[in-house]
Amino acid sequence: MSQQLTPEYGEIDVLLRASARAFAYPKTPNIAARVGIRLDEEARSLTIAASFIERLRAGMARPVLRAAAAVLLVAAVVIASALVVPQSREALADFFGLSHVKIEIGPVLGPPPPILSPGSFAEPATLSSAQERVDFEIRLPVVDGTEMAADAVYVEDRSPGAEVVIAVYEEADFDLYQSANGFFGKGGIPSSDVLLKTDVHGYEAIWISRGGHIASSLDDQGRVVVETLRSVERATLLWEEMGVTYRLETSLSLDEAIRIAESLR
Amino acid sequence: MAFRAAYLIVRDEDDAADVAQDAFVRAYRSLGTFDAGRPFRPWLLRIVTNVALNSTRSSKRRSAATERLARDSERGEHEPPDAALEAAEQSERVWTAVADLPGDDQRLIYLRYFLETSEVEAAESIGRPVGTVKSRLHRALKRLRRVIEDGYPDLLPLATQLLREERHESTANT
Repeated sequence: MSQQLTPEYGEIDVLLRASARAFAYPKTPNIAARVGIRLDEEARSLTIAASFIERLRAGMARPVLRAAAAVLLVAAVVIASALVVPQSREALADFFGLSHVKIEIGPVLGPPPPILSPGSFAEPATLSSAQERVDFEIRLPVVDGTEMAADAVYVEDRSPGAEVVIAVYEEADFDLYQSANGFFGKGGIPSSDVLLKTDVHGYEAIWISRGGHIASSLDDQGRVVVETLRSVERATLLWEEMGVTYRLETSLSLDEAIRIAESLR
Repeated sequence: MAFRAAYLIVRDEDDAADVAQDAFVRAYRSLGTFDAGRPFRPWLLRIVTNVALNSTRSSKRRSAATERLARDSERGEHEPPDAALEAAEQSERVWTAVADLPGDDQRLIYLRYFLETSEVEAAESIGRPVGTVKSRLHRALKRLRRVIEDGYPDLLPLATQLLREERHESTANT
């Protein structure tokens, strides 16, 4: 491991190797048993929920169950309304745990901004010229061990320090946005049922399951870059990995979007 | 391996068990996206280390390990430590120094040194080519040296001595 290191780093290399040898790990607990219990519990609660729904459907004619269903409906309406007040929005953002993604739930108010393709709001670039303009490493999807070349690459830099690299895959039906700052989404996201918490290789992610919302980039202060406001027609997967926020816009399914996201190299 | 990887990053036994459990559940749910043509261990390590790094990002706290180290240091003023204890303490201090590095650097150092994965496995685990692993590891060592110089300068003579001994042994063997 240390053959190509200069003596200066050879010292650190040898120190790390000695430390690793002497390192005292605690006894490994029985993780498999815990995982088994958790998966069992999840399976059981899904079964209970499914059977409850079935029973509710079957028993709707009975007055007591009709009343129970009404209570459930009221509770659902209260929750949906709560999501449009600012504190709840904040709570929702906390729930999703993405520090560079802002989402506001609610209808589109006023005329929506136009649907724009990257070519109309960002500058065409090559992969290498785009790489020169951003501090993070641009990543692309890999299929069967081969990097997927984008049909087109663009750089959006409406605000200093807020460059966004966009790789367009027309054939494969997705656009991949990468930014050191983040993204904003609002309107056309009527309730949390359109948002799904998921993960990309263990990183928390948000899936906006349909289009019809407004998106924009954030600058390096976390402010919306107004010039980039546009309507989005497709579903969107958002996640952060090591300081870079990714946005995948696609008509593909969530599973396919995650497969693309997890293949980035 | 999963528990150890989690423990190195979250630095607390109970938290590490939770992270490993969470990572296994996520891996189980994501099995559909796993490419059966690729090795499983780096894929799992990637999920474990991602979950662990996310968990530390949201809860910066003084770790149990650091507290244990502080207790050991206090006790060390009264009792002369034996060689094994001294090595373990030094190991924990190096571990604490590594924790001052950015998440990416920590992950690479743990993968290559503490978990002893190959360069190819480490590359699979972070989703980057082997060449990138080499260059990033070199940068991580450079940053770690700076951290040690600033915060743990007494470890440097030890590192120099270890290197000298290793070179002496290698010369004696040839």
